[in-house]
Amino acid sequence: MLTVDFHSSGDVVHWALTDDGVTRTVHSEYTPTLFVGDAVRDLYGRRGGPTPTPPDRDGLSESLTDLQAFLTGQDAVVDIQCEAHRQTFRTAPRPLLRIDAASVDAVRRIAQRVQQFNGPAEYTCYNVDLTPQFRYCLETTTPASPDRSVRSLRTLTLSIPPHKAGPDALSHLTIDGDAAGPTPEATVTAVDRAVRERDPDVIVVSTAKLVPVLFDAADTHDVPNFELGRAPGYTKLAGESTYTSYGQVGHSPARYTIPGRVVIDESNTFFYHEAGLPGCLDLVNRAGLPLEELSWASIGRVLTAMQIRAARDRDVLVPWQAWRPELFKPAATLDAADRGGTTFAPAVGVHENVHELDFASLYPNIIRTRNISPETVCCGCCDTNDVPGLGYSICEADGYLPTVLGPLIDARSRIKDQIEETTDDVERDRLDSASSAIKWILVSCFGYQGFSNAKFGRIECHEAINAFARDILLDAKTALEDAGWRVVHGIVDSIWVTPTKDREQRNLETVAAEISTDTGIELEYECAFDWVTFCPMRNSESGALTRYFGKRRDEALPVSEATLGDAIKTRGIEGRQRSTPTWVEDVQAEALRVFDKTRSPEAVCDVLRRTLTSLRNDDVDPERLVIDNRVSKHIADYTHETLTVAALKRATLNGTGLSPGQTIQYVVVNNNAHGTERVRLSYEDITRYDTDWYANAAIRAVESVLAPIGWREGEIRDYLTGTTDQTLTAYSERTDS
Amino acid sequence: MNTSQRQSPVELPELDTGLTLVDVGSDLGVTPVQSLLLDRVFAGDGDAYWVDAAGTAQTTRLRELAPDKRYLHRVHVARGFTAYQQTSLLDRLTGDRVTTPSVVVATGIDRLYRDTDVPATHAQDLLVRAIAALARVARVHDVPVVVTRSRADEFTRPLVNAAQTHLQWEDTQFGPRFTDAAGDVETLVYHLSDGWVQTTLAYWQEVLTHRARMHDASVVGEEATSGSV
Ligand SMILES: [Zn+2]
Repeated sequence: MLTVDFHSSGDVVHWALTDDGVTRTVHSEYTPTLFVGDAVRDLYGRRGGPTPTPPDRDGLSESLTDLQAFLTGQDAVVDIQCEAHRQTFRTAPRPLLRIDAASVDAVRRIAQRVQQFNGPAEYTCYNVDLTPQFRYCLETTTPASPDRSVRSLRTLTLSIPPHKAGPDALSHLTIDGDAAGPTPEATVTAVDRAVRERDPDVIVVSTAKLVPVLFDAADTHDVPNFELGRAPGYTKLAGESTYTSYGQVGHSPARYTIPGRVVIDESNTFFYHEAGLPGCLDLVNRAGLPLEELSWASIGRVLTAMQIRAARDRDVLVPWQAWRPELFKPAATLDAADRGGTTFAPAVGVHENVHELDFASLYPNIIRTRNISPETVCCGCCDTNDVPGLGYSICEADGYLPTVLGPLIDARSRIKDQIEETTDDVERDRLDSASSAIKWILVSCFGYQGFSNAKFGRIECHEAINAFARDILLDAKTALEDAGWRVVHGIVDSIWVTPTKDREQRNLETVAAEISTDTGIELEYECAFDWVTFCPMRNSESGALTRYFGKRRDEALPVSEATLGDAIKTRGIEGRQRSTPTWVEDVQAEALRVFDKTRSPEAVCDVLRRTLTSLRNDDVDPERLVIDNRVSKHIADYTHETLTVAALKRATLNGTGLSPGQTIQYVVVNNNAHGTERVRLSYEDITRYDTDWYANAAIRAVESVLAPIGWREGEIRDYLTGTTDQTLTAYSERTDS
Repeated sequence: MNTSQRQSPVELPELDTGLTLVDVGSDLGVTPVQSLLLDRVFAGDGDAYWVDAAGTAQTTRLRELAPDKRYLHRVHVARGFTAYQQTSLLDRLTGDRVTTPSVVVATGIDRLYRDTDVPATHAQDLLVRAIAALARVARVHDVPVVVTRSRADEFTRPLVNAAQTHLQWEDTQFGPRFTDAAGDVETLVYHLSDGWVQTTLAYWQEVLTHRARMHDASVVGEEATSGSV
């Protein structure tokens, strides 16, 4: 299917692709279903241990019978009966109330009534908060993917620059990159024509607000029969909202949908940004979450969708809330579990002749090879000591989580192989998209297990994964040391080694292969470095775990200045951060080039000195000073008067306020000024910049390079204020050529 | 370092069977309560059970406080992250798996019921139910139950009403002090004349080492072999 519309009457309209358009099928008999069971305490209360042991019963309990009588005949309820299903992965099917609702909206209304009937926590509801299209696919066993063997999808993109707002904004709208019209009226007419001519299946909008804005403008300017969808009108699915969850304030923008077409909101999509439409469609197929819902879904939601499908295969219902508590455990065990992944603190400084080895998809592979799943860890039926350091048992029976992640791990490595092989650029792009969408699911599956509010998450799983990861890394360290290698750093799934002095070394690839066999998880040889430098933390002498840079042995530095190509790998320093202005990035890149060539802090500082001189002479194009920040929350929620806040306020002042998820771009013009005067937005006329502020940024970027060899900001400034350029003559020819 | 000059004995309030509400108006957070918990473990008839809903059950502080790490095997912790999980955990305290505790601690009892995902109409009911569950724990096991709340307000009034004892913990110039809300009992933990800073970890470590010795329980340096305490 392509998409599904839900009418308040309860009718459901199902759209599917045909070779020249779409078919529209109306289902008036579709009734979404939820289930109700007894109180939480039956599962997890007094008798609760590793395995829930609810009391035996044949039919409905008395309180469920009461509830049935209460709900029977209500408008929202079409049918209500007794049906047996499993409430958890570790319990047998039990008779529950099955309620067929009049519409998707009625499901939540019924669940709320159940919650209010009788005392609090008297009932457990299941299959309540599934998104409508996903639910429809599950309950009618409809494939979530559009059938692209029929034809490929047609897309139309409508964009307004983020800083344009107000009634005039529509004059700046583009259709697939081309200006639509000089006036709002012309724009609406052009959009209307483009939609009719192109008949798109997917409309990508820069912000979902465009949907009501276009309809309103069509009204105002009397554009007859204006439509975006394949049937009249549009629906607001969710209003803009602020919510508090575990102390974090979150925002979700309003969502709109139109009949017969998928709307993708560029300001509210993770996967479309990361993987494009091909990657999204690939994931729709794997996760079974329809395209429109996948477009705004978080990684957790996609993972949950997969888990829900796996649960359904086992006749397990989807709990409405995270009821399952963690088990009581000795503080000693908790203490061991809280240690997190193992890291070997890096020795700050430059290390010569370093090799990096990485475990491939470590966490997902641990889950798969160690059979980790919410129902297998501390299973209650096996009395074995399986998890290193914690003593938890892992069930002999196969867990469901490995069956969810296994196919993703395999698909990703298959796609990686295909990327290696293919010579077709279009094909490679498609494969890259698919691979990156899957990557996000795999890298997040571990953290998600630890979210106690995740539907199928479980803390003991999270702890077990961590314990295995620690064990595996320590085993690898021992094996490498036995083979004559010294471990200079290790973090989560990566290890850096260098030959141990006065020892013979066994071949690294051979050792890695042995470790792979022993651990059951492939340890890949990543690359050789001429040198690697581990940085200290900003305000301490100890090594920062994730700040380092190194020169790859087999890559030459590009000839053109200020780029590093693949020759220098950096992590955690300014050049890696998206907010860093290009100019600062270039200063750092140049510093790294000179460092590689000379290892001389003086030579690096001389480069910095010359750069600062041109900065002070106003020779830097303000465009290269633009700071690019993703807005993470609404202005009111920022607690400090940061530059980003100043920029956001300035944008609001200009009538172009931004929502979380959008990007704000600005130049610092006077950091000491007040409020909105500190910055200029990138689209404004910028004639000056704050020299001192950018000089400091450049010095910090250079400090990142030199701190590992003992030159901090103080040393750098001292050197800069010295009058002689000691190394200029010595190195200028090489660095300036 | 200062032990030889110590004038007064190190005191912690005697906990009676039943609910004891402890209000800690200080940055120290859970430390005084953890100290009360460990003190009961030293006295030694059974293990301690701790249900945390306040997000404070990091074991780091407990490990630092314990005069001997083996005590960590005798403190059983479970954290509730949702109101429903907390409710289940409180129920479990009277279940088959919890045998002869020496003390039960519930921190931040009200916190999760204030969360937005709990319907407002239910919040008060659930809190009252939680208090009743704790009262049952005290009755069934015949032990002291120490409770803390995240805020002292109208919402937690039922807790004040239900508690047999209401201790207020405060820093004073003479040292930290537990005061009975009724005003008649006062426990000055440890006189500060010899220069201890009561908010430091070192201070509480000192207090607990003394308490452990008083109960003839193990402290670091005295035990040479490992094993259960
Ligand atoms: Zn088992």
